Amino acid sequence: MKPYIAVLYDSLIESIRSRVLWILMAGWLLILAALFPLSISEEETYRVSSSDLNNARGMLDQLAQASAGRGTRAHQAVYAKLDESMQATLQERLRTQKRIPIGQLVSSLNEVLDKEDLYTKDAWPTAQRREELKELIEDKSKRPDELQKLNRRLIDLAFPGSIRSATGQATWVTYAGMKFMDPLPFTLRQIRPFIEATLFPFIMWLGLGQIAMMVAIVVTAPMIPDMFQTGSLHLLLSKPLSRSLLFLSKYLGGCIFVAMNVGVFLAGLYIYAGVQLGIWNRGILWCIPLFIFSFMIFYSVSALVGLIWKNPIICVVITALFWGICFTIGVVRGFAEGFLKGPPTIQSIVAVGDVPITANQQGRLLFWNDSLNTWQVGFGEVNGQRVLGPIIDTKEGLLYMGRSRFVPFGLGGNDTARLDVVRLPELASDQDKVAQQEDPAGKKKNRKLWDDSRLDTAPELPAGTTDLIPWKDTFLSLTPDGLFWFDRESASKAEQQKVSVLGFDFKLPQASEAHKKLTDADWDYRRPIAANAIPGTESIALVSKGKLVRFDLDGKKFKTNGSVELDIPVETVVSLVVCGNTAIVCPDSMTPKLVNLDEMKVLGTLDAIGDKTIKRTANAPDGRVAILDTQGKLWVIDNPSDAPEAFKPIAPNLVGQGNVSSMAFDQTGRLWVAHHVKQLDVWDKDLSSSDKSFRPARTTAEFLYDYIINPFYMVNPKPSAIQETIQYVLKNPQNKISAVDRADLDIPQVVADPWQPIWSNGIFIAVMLAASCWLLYRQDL
Amino acid sequence: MASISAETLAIDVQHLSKTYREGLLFPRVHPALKDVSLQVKAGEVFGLLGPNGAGKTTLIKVLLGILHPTNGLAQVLKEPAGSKAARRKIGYLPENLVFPRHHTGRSALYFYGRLSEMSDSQIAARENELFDLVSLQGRQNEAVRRYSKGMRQRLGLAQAMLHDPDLLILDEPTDGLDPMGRSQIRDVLDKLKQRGKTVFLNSHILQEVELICDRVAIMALGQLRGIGTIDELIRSHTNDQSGSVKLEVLAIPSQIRQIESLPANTMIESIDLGRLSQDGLSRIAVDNIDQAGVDSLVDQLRSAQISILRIERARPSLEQVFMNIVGAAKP
Repeated sequence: MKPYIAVLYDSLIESIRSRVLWILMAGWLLILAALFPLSISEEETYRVSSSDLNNARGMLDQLAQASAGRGTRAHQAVYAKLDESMQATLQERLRTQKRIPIGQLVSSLNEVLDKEDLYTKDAWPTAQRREELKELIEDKSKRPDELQKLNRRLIDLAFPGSIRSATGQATWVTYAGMKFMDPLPFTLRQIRPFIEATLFPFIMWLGLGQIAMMVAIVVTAPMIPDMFQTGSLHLLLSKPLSRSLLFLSKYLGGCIFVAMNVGVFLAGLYIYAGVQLGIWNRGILWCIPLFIFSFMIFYSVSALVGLIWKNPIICVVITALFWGICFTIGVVRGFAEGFLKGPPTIQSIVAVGDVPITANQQGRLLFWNDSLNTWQVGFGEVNGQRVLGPIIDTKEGLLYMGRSRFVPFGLGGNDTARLDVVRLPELASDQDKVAQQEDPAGKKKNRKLWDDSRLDTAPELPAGTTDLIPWKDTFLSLTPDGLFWFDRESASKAEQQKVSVLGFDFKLPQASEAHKKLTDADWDYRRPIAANAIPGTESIALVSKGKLVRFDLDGKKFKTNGSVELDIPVETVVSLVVCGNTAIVCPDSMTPKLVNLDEMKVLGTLDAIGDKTIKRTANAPDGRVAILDTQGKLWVIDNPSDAPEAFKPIAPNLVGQGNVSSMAFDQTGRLWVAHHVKQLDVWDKDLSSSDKSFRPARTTAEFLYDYIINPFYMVNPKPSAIQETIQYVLKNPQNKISAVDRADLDIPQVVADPWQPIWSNGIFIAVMLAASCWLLYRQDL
Repeated sequence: MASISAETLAIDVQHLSKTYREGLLFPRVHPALKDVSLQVKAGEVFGLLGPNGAGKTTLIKVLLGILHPTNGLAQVLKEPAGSKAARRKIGYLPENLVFPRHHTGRSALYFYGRLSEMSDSQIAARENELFDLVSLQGRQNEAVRRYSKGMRQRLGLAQAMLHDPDLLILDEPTDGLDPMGRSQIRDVLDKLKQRGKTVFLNSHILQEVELICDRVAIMALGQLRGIGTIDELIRSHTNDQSGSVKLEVLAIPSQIRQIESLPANTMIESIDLGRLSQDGLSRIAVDNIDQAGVDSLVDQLRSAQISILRIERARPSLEQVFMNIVGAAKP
């Protein structure tokens, strides 16, 4: 055995004979044993759960109305099948607005699911048009589960905005076979990326990255100082060994101890995830070397300190201090980045002449102020909201923008969104005026141009609106219940409701009559859903449930005019843009597909783009389209044509390419590109030169971030960055779906090279070890 | 000092100096070795003596490459001191040896054998013989943390001999051993000497050194104060001409005191031999008397008709030499 291998082997034996190792091992095994009964199970069910109810209050109101013979026949049919006590409660609610617990509604509805004669043709006249329901209605010898399925579908149809359309699958969290709470509103397939990309990394970050790391630092701290015991070290040094290699062998020996702990825990976690969750993710095993590497960073510090002071307590204290410094710098930088790089990032752009109006991730509407050389907030400060639109009506000088709660993974359900209508000032002229006045009074005046007096409270957007599509001067709201057109004239006629509280008047959202439903009652396109107008027509292309459907406006309603299967999983989130008569369908993490909208035929794929997640698209008046992936890369597709080979996406060499957050074409065909958080460039039609650039002046916080926090972070070792690599290896390449809803595409993506922390921290380790070797070589011992 | 042929040298140290610097901001200089030159012949048992702080351990550390010398040269078995080639040929037993707690006697022997580039089969071939030699047979599978100090010391000696080195450097090898253990170690060293191995011994126990060592070097205050065989050291560091003399004479003390010109520091005592002392028997002891004084004393005793039964000239011990050298050492 080579001497250095003997040192390593000796470290292994030392670890095995250490009591601490066995205590830790027992701890890991206990944790795994406690975790093992926790599982996720999926079963076919159509039962109602409280998470299915998007608007329980509305549903109760509708049922209460039904008790008085009002509302639709479907409402009345459901009411008729409720048990007597529930009926009495609903009648009381009609009189007294009595509150009814959601649990009571859920159990009553579940009882209705087992009633054999819920369906009547009168109540559900369109049900027979649906193939699935037709079969169930006609089947006279239905099994109980088929009856539940039929009744659940009928309830879904009766209360489209209030209850989530049943998927037929319920996912439960179970512990030792016992179900926990309500079923989760996801399928196992949808949960899996969350478990792999978020839950496992979190467990590892907390359990291994923090707690176990500190324990390992404490336990291994005496190893190097012990080597320096006079009687021990001199004997080692008298052997034909190189001092450096002896030290490195001892250092690696310390890592063996950690490797054994991490190995046991992660191997256990791998088996648990595979057996109990069905997730056989080899990334968990890859995390073993990654955690050892992570430990090596701290241990390299501990070892150097051990060489200098030869005292384990000092080793622990200084290593903990180092950990604290790295952690603090990481947290400060993370917070700074969270405030300065995320929320202010421009998400959508509209151009009014030469003046850009943008909406950022925070839900703020911003306009460019030339005199101050910065973006200024207009129309109320609304934080943490998702912006729908904005859409501009240049003819009327109006701007529409929806603001909804941002809730990831579709958990927001059918939230309602506020609609803001802004009467735009004559921007160019007002900006010129402001530019001439540089005194504070001028600034004040400038603000006034954009204050709330220009903001009209408009009717709330229909429940569950996911997108606004420009349509006939205003827009269409895309919802799981159908497409609604905003009729501005009816909105302006509607009387504004006000309430007075303590002498203050509050405007109430108006009734939603202004949003005209343009789709039939048998509309059945659930989330994830995407739609876009077909230019030059009165038609809409829509993708849902793995299918592209074309709707043509027939009088006042949209009628289906053909559909095509896209051969993608039904829960795939897609982006859609229409280029001439060709739809470019961009499914999450897949190559975009080209679909001819006249023949409703898949033409091929846009291989030049490859497997990307496209988060934003834009149409130019001349037919070009721009698409933007979640990594910030922008493509422009020219020359629309039926032939797939004629679609040649180019990634133009624009300033900020690779860091683009949004883009839009203006009426003249210029491309406005937002990049690097708040910067904006306007590119001419052929994308060869930039007409105008908007570079906001740095704020003090940004200056501190750019010149102090970030440079300090860059030169500082980043053990916590290994977490990014861990997240990367845990993402199963065969299970790339990370978005559940289109809103999830706006979650900032980690664009950094996942292996970069290995290089940067590897250099740090090498420097520390080299310094230790040099010191040991020079030292008189 | 007579120079020794280079071919037969196990250790060759020439003008070696080592200065320690202590403190970062205001470094203090502390010379540990000052111009030390010594040579150890192959196959001899060489003892290095000196009081605490004399520089003995520093010299050993330089020979092992644990310390870098400030000046001078040191060669071990014709290799530069501290080089891997030199360390391959050295077996070292440090003072206050500490074994890692997780080892048994046997696993420790294997561990240090592997560090000495031995294969497991080579170690296996030697282990029984060595455990026998150091009287640890039957205890080799016990954890070293349960060993007594003497057992650890013997295990240390076993690991030093394991790879059959040409040179053994033993730092206080009998430290912590009982008289039986010391005797065993002496036997081991005798055997090594018979096999032609060189032993470089650092010990405080002068009687032991006197018994074992062929040659001795005495250091004090970082300097080599004396080197040679014990006889050579006594001759060169004590005054043989003015030692003490003891005589046994057939006379009572009063008869002897009648001699007028006895030296002033003469001690006379009667020896009580019971029946045999009818004529009187006395012992005369005189310190610091040279040969002329002894001759004169004998002449006077004979002139007084006193019979001299026994005359003994006392030989100086190594301890006396050591005390003389160390006592006279000045920085």
